[in-house]
Amino acid sequence: MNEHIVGQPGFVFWGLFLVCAVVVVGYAVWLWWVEHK
Amino acid sequence: MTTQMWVFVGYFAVVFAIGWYALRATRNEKDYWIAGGELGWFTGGATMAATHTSAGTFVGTIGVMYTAGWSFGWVLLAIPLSYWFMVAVLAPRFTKQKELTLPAFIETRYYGKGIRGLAALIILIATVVYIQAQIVAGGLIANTVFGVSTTTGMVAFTVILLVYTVIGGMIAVVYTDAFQLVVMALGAVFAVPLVLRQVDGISGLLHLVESAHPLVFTWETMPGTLLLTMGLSFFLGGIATPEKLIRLYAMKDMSTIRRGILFAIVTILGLNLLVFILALASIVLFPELPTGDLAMPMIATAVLPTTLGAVMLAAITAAMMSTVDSLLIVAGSALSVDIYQNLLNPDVTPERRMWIDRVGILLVGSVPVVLLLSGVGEGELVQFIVLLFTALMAAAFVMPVVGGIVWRRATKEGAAAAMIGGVVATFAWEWFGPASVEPVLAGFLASATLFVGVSLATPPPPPSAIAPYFDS
Repeated sequence: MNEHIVGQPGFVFWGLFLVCAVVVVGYAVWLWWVEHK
Repeated sequence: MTTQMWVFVGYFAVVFAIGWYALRATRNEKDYWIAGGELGWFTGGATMAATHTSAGTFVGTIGVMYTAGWSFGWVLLAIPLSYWFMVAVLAPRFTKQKELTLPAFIETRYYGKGIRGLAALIILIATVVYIQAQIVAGGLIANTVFGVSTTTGMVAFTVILLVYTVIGGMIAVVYTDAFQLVVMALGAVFAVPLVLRQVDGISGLLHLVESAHPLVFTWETMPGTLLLTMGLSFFLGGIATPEKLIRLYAMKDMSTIRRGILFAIVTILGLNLLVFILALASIVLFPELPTGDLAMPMIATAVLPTTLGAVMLAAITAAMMSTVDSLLIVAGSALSVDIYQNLLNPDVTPERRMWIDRVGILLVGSVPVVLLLSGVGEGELVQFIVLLFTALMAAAFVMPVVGGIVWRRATKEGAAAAMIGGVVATFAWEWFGPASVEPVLAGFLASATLFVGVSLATPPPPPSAIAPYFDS
């Protein structure tokens, strides 16, 4: 079942968008941490 | 004049106006090469993002994705990673002592004028190849918009670029970059919904793409090793390309750099993801293109309404120009500051220096187009030339720059061996190695091995060379 979902174009397509969003949030959190530590 | 022409005339008018303003604002060499070193996070981040976003993004990425599918998109993640590394690891020490050029840093850290000349020479040669790729993309656009031959288009773009870069230096480049980033964002943001309307939205697009090209969302269209080494190339090249490093000197302080890079990451990722959607749409809308590099110009002319199509073409042009102008600054400074004024004629008066700086940019800007007119370097897919340039920069400079600020023991001889060995190994792999692995891997490994090995085998650097970067 999982393999079926992972192979879907929608999963692969939106997956990249999601990972990019996580990366941006990650950088913002790091920036906040560096400037407030 | 057609609507397309008016859009371009307006665009060039703004660029020239900024060039004129920059001419009046430039008072000395520090202004000319690093915009005075006082940029804020918005202009600093915008010029970083605009420089990063080249014809490689708007023409080349679409070209590769058109041919090789969605798996190429994951290479994008190497970009934010490289920026984070640049800001978190490299910048704090690298910017402790501000220089005008990357080879000047090499001279300070590696205590020698000769090694500075070597770095400048590598930058010069690699940059000419890269500028050529971008100018070819410009020629294609001019052909589409104005109906002139590709050759005329290439010459015209080079002249326009040279006018504002030569007169205004880095100040012109930074502010035109910010303007060009806005043009790129406008083009992409307005084009995507209109293109999606043609294919019944995202779900319709995904369905149509899979029907037309069943392997597009699989990992089978590009070898995994190629994807990984492409990612490595973007990562390493992102850290050490001179046009990005010099922007660290151009920004005011570390806090500004950290914020500017966040802005750059958001912009670069956003623009690339929008371009990826256009790439998928072009697979459906134009399934029979002879080369993927034509996909974006086709979207602009055949899918979008006239005015928006013109803005999209202006966006591609902006992407190309904002990268080439930055490379002109880097290559021009390598020629006039690092080679001529540093090695050949150190006694130049300050007044003459500004003139020599401008002649340097004029020369390095003219060579690529002359080579192209002679038939050298035509016909390569833009994105692959971008990757070769990135690989060369990574192989030559990652170890000397990153190693130089994290490892006290790094020596002049080690850095010189790393630069030469990295470049030679990159070219050797490009010509003789298997195509399924990017040349950056061979170049970087050779560079790293030589850097460490030769440094350990030679006497340690003098304390004066490491003090500016390691002493608090």
